[in-house]
Amino acid sequence: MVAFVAYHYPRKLVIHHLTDTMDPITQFHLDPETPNDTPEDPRASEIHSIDVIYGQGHTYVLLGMRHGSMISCKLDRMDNSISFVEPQTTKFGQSQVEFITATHDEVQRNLGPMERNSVFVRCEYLWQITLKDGVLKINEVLFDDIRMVFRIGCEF
Amino acid sequence: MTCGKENSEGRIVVTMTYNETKILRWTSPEPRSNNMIWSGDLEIDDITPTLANHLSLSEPTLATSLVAGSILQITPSGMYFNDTVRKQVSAQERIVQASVVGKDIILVVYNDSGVWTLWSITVDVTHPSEGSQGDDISFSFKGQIDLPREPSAIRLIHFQYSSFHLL
Repeated sequence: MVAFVAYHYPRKLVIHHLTDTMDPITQFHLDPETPNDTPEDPRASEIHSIDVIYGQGHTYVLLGMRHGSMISCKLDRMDNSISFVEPQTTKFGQSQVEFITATHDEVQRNLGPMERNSVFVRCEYLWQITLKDGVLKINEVLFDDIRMVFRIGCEF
Repeated sequence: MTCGKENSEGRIVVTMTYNETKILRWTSPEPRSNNMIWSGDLEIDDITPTLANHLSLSEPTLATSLVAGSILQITPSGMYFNDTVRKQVSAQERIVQASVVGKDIILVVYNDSGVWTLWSITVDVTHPSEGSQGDDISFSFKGQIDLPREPSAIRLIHFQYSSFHLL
């Protein structure tokens, strides 16, 4: 298990490995040009929500910002170190970006490699982000008369 | 949160603008099995009064999950399961952020001394021996680390290391 912890002033994301010591594994600075002891531009939007999407050998961290945008970045592994690469910003609207996540246990037991290749996002409208062939695709969820039931997993 | 046969019943935990918590029960008159077409019709009842002895309803809910068929609720004052299983922080502490996946919990706890700490906690569920009633539920503390300042967001993620390409 890992914990993602986001900070502002300056903005960064730290990943903790949840062992006894809970030591940080790596961190990602959103504003690398800003020294740690310099207050951030107060107009900058802080990280409001966090999610992860992964499958077929690709993993992306999704950062929902306070003022309507999302930053996605790919997690890359080089030897024993992890780095955040290819950060991209997507603007959804003006309000805070909130990921709609299941809280039940998503770990598949004895079912082979696990994938989590779809998440929903709320920002004024409802959006779905899917990971297909290593690329993120973002679509607005449009409601019509036909609704399908999709379950990620459930303990019951 | 879903439960019940054919995914046709569940709970909705709502933090109101005045920082109280309400618990709603939704039921679907039709089964909601995976990949089936569903009308989208739900019936929703307010069951808050029936849970007044089990949960802390006078506070906002920071995170929630269904564990062993019961609602796990995390509020600024602690973690609540039912009227006998609960873990409250001290008077000098308050929980300011929480993230839950299944039985695993992370919390950001602020202490009046000005320290922000990340806690890792697991809910232990042991099934009772024959003849006794109900699951035996407890919280076990896994670890903690002081944080440099207040986080703006946290998120717990489950990874199976064997299938996680990065760790």
